[in-house]
Amino acid sequence: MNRKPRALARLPQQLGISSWRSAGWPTSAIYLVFIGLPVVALLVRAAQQESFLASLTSPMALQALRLSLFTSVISMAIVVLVGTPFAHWLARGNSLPLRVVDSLVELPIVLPPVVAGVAMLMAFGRNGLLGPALSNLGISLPFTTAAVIFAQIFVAAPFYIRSAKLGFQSIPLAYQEVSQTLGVSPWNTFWRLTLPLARPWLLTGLTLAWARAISEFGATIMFAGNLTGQTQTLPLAIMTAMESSLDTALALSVLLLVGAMLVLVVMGLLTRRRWQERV
Amino acid sequence: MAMFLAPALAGCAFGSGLQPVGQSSAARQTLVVLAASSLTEVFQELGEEFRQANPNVKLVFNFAGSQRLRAQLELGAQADVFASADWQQMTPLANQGLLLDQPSSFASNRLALISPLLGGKGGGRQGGPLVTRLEDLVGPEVKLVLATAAVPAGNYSRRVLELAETEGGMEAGFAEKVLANLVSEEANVRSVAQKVALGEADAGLVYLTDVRSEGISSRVAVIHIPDHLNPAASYPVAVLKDAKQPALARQFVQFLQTDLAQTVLRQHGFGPGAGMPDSSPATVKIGTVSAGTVSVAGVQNPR
Repeated sequence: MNRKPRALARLPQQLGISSWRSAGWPTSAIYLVFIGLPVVALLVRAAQQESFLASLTSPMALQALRLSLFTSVISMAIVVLVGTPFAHWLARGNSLPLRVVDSLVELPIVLPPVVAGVAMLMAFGRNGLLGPALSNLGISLPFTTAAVIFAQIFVAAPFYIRSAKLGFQSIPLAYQEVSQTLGVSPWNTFWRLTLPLARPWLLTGLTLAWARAISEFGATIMFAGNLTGQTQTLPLAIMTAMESSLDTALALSVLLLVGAMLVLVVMGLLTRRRWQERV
Repeated sequence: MAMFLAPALAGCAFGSGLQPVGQSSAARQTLVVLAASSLTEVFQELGEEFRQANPNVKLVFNFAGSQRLRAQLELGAQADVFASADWQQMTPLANQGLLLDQPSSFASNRLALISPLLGGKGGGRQGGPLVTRLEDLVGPEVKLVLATAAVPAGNYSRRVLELAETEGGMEAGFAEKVLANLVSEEANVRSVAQKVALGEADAGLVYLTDVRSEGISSRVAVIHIPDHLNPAASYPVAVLKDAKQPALARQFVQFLQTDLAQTVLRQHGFGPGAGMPDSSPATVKIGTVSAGTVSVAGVQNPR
């Protein structure tokens, strides 16, 4: 068992790599080029085109941008309203059913989005499980903007809930006990102690969830379809434009790329503040 | 760590060996064929036939909306043969010098209107499909799904609606009213068929050949559209300039015109090739199609 690895273990030395640590340089260089080159290529190609601004302000692009912002803001509002108390509940218990729920919450993170889309069709589609019930209420979800929001909540909520749960868990229970022995009501304790202390985690989770909601594609095209102004979010618009107007696809891609970079900057600031608060 | 690395590296070594053992004796050739998604089943069957005659050939198919394949080819995708569902996705490639030969049409097709048998309305709708004729498409509750205008089927669909208005005796503004019922524009014709078969949409326009598979035919009502409102879709095929196997690719293109291949195509519901492109294929734009252009494109009905 050990012979072959030993022979292999000599390979780096033969290649002139003296220590495990120095292997980091070539590998990181390769990886940076691998990640960086497509990003740079996208920016270069977009900069080369004269009609960048015109593409970015075309009706299709603007409607997709408006729809993406509108739907993601609503889905994030719902995620925060429902997810925060839920995450707090998850953070405070350790029973078996609770741990089962805990792992189920993260299912959408590992589930292929297109499967999420099929599953939502089977549940909320007109011939889905809840289809007849919804139909009696006069509601038909597929192909609506509401379906876009459903898809976004489904795939993005776990990112917020997971981060919020970690945030709540990081607060020592003693703080809350002290607060309550001082006569502060549980609601006030949550509002004035727990929430501010968990805020960096909540904001990090929200940023991640929002980024995931904006980039949602597979579940949306399955469950909500693709119609300009109604269900065609930015990623769907890029897919559609790729086949008719490359300029528009490039412009929208750059827009999302810049947005993603901003997300990283915001996340960086949030985590740094979190560390400073700790020290 | 090393324990895990060892098999991984060994795998790499085999992977980079490139030439399988049998390669030297009889060269095994791979032919990459990009084809319109409406050709999915028939090309798989034709591929089997072609392989019987050429046992050393491995066929790799890539099915998608013709417009997506065309875009991929323009961006440098490598393939040997491209079979499109219309000339509008083929002619730009010829104009850019990406084709080795003149494309030739090997098959034709026609659209049909489909509507779910169960009906929408939560699956509980009584009395058959919501849509039973073209006129029904303007109904206030109809959810219509079409392919995007760039997809050949989506382009033909819009021409059918235009023709229904100009030639079919529909009210003025018919096409516009129908398009107001559009709830989704799909990336290929098979997605349209699927959304209707699922009962999520009330109607869709797909090729007659798309409703032959069990999964679709058992779930939808097929409403035929008269030929004079239903321009024949022409399927051109061509060998690509970057083909790695140009000789074999030409052989495959010629094979499509043989009696054997044409019989298989007929069995799947396709009509004979339309020969030449429309009078002005690359410049035909949706909404400006005149009845004259369409009659040039039309071929005799195979049935």
